[in-house]
Amino acid sequence: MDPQNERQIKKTNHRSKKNDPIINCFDKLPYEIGIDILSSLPITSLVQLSFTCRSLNTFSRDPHLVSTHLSRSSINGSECLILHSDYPIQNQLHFLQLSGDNQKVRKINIPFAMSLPEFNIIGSSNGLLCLINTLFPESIYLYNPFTRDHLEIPKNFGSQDQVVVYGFGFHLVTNDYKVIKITYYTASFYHHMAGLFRGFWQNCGRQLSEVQLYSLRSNVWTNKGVVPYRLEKWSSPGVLVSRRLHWVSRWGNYYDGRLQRVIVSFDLVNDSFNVIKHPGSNPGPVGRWASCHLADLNGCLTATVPCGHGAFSVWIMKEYGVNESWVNEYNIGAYYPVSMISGEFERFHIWRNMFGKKLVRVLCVLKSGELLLEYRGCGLVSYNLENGTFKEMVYPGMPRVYETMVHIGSLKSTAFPFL
Amino acid sequence: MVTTDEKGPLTAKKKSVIIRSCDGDEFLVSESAAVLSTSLKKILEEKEDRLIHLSDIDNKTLAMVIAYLSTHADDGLSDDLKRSFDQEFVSGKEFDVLKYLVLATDTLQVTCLCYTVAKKMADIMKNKLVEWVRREFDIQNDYTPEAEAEIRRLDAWAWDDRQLEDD
Repeated sequence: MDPQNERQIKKTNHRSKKNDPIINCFDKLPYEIGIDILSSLPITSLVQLSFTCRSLNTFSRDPHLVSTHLSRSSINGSECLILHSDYPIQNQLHFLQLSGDNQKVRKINIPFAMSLPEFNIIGSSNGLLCLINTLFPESIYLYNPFTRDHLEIPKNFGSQDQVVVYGFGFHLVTNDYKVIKITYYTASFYHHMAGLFRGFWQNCGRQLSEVQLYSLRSNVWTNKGVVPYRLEKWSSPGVLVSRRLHWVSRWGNYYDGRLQRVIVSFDLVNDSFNVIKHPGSNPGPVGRWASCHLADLNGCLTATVPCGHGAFSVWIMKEYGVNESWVNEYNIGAYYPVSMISGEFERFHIWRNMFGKKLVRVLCVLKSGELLLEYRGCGLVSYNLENGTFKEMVYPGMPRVYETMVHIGSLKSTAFPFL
Repeated sequence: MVTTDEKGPLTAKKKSVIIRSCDGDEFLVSESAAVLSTSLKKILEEKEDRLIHLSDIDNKTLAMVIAYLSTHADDGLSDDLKRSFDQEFVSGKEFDVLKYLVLATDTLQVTCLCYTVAKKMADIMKNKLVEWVRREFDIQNDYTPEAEAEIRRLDAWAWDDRQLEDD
């Protein structure tokens, strides 16, 4: 269909709505121009606009506007960061718009805070956050911080002695939000034993894992059998790239004829697992234990691999699924944010770096072309790729200790998520 | 193109059209420029009339649209020049002027200008407060004071900084 026809049709559709009691407050403007203008606004301005009058409030939730706004925001890099802070007050959510003037960390209300006194964010996808109750992990919420819409998904009970790895993602093909819960029922000593007996270990993983998948569309959990890989707890939640969630496996999978870590992916469309080569894993004891962590950088699967002494290299998979396309794009030297040097985190840093507690995470590429890094518990740092300099990012209202999640702000409703 | 006739494009260039605004001013426009507007093109295809009356576009706005059309119909200008013309065209214009312009481009169906103007409007609207939007779009606040207080309480972050631009 050529764009002109499409435009005509949309126009007619709009006109047929004229009799509806709800009209677009931009009534002087044609529907699609209204959509065009509003969809290029940052989420903060869009929310402001929705407060002007009732009909504009309704119009701001128009499904066509919501989806256009979402896709534009992801293309033009108007992401925001969701900061989950525990200090000085526990379990607070804040957000920070990454572009534009007047950047400021703003606090978001959680309307269901009473039923979610302690939580973790297990993903952000297509405008919604997925929060899990850390005290009662069967309680999982989908939440849009910009509309305050929320929805508790059906509970999925599990036994106590377990390691659980999560993932949350949306994909357009299925037009569905999914939550994946991978449970390892092995007792903790098995994990240690397993490292010593490779074959035995793999069998353990095979028998004692359980994959459960929740689909918002069907609103049920289904059992997807087992996963033949042992995923690292610290790689949870999975990172969504190219319609698949990704985690890092433990060391000990045969790949390319040798034992190593692999990246395990879960396809949200056909619900299947796959394996990707782990880039740049160093041989020797450090390479074996050091954690890489995954990220989505401009739509490419990205892995940061520590190279010792606080430095790390950033690998980018240029062509998804092609192992040969892993490129060591950047090598970033050691950097210690002021708060880390002065604060209580100093004594842990080497351990964290070597043994997998994600010390540095790559969050995204800023509009300025700089890389945004999160030094765990110590703050946001932008890294200039051209001259290799670091700059700590401090904004008014920033909490002291927090964890971040890149999020695209949207007025997506949890009540009608598929419109 | 207007016609599949071989001579078509050639003759089209030579012809011109008179467009009359709602204030009665008349503009002489080459047909090659006029056909960039989908609506004008349709009118020209349907009838031989060389005078088109536009009842809802004032002469100030119409003059701007015609300047745009003429520039884009000029084969002598490169695409880069046209693009920079577009940027120049919308920059520095008042929000009010842009509002009329966007409506005119929609009536005339000049899609690319319409989107350029809409983008410029969105740029101006960024970080504007509720009060600004109400004023510029002449929107009546139909929330009751109680309802508005409730929104302000629930989405406190959206209201907490009055230092946002409000010009």
